[in-house]
Amino acid sequence: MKVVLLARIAPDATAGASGLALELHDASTATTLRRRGAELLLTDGPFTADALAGVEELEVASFEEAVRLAAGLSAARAGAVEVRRVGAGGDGTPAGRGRRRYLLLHVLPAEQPQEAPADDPLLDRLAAPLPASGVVAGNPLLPAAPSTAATVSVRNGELLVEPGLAAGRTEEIAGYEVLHATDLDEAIAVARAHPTLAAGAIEIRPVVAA
Amino acid sequence: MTVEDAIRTAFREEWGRIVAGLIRMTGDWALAEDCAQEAFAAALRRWPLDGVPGSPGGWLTTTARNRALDRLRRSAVEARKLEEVLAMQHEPDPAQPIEDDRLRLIFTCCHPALALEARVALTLRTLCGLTVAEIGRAFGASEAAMAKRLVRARAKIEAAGIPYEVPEPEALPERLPGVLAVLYLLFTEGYAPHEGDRVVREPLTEEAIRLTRLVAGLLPAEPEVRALLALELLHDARRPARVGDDGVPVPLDEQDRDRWDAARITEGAALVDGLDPAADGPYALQARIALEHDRAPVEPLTDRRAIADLYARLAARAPSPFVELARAVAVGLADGPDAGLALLDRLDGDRRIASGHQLPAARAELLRRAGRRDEARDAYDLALARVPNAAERAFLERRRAEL
Repeated sequence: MKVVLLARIAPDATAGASGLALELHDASTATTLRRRGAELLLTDGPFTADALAGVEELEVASFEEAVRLAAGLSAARAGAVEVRRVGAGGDGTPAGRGRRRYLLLHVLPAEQPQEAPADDPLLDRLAAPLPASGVVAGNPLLPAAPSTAATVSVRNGELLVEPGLAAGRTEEIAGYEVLHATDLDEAIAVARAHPTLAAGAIEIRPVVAA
Repeated sequence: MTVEDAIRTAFREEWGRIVAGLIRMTGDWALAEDCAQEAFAAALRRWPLDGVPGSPGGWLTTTARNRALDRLRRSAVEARKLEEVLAMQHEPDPAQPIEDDRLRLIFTCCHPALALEARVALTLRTLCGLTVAEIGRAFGASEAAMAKRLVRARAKIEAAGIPYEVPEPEALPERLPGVLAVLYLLFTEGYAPHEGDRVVREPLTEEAIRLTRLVAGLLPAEPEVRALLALELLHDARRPARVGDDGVPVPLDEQDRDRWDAARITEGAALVDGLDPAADGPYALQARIALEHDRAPVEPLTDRRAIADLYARLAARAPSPFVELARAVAVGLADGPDAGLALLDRLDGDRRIASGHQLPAARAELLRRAGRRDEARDAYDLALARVPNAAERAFLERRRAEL
């Protein structure tokens, strides 16, 4: 079973690194794209206050195993780790290497808890072949529901597991891509063409060099 | 010219060029600013003793470049940076204006992925060489807060890979408005500060005009840049008459027009004359409005009809409640206060303007002209309760007292 761990750390938390494979630069380096009519809106900063600090894709035997692994991360103590099941159609093939890596986060308004509809058109779009230019990897995530997502945190040594998204979360990460590009303008050019903008936003996050 | 004047002139003319060049060579913003600063400090020490060099810009460029070399050698960073700095020359008049480092720098400072306040602060720091404390004062922020904002902006440029380049020509229509917005905000913050006690912050208006002139020179094919320059000049021409000896703003119809800056009006008018009316953008329309005011020898001879028509075009081209408000006042002056008041009524309930002092102040002015004194007094009271700028408040109080 393929899952993705999404580490969220509150902006005032002192704990820096998420300990995950894709380490993101500070949330203040994020750029968020939205579309209003024909107009593209760029804003400085992440989409939400408790922004992502890191991402990792895992192959696990069971969802419980993923929760256990998430609980062991420092991000579970400093914030929370969202465990999400991956939908079909992920992973790109390695493409030309630019100098920088960017994570494009596809963010949609959160749905009410429900089982994943097989014919969700947005899911289809996210599962569609990834755009060629510079995208080297990516995963569409299954719509968050108790069976496909969990929010894991550790407080005072106690493991807290919330099925689905954290309570009160108004947006949902529908998928992500890793992009190689020469600069932010190139990343924006790729992101702006994406159908996600018809329904939600794309947060562009520089990835810390490996 | 005294040595001090020479240094001041060199600072105005060379700071942005030196910083921009060093940023291109090293990619290191902090290093670029530090070395430029050290070069000017060296000039302050050397020039009074040795005399002003024949090419002050060349002297400063070489000195700043040598400082950068020293530092790079000491820290033993990449040899590539070192080589590029070695090749850095003073280029007083580049043949390819589009390659000017300062243009690159302004597009980076004004990148839309940076917050507007960060863009303004970065532009003032790196292109104009204002100190962090000066920028903080200009925008009512502490030096520490402003320093933090600048550090964050530079960190984002670095980490997010905001390019240091002039956008491709096809991307210019999308990117240029962001640059012009920063220049215009600089000008209006200097000309009519949002908060605080002074009516005009001269350094900011001067910097805005200088930068706009620079961009207009570097992008000669862009009419909106020339229009913005005209707009700034035509407004700034009134600066000598805009504030009374008591520090209170003088309204347009009471200003001593002999004190207006005729040279600025002439320059602004020439720029406006060179614009194609069919292609007028928002800045061109505002420049035409300013010119109508500036060319009236006395206020009653102002072509109010033309101004109201220009505002109608502006409202169609760049709709905003503040444009509608200005249009209502213009219509009030052209067609009588009642016509203007009717337009103002349509703005009631617009959230974007509901909490400010501008709407009640405009209404008060038209009610005053209509002779409806009690209603005017109420409107002045409402405006006074909201106005954040002490000088504007003094003006509104005076108007209210005259009723």
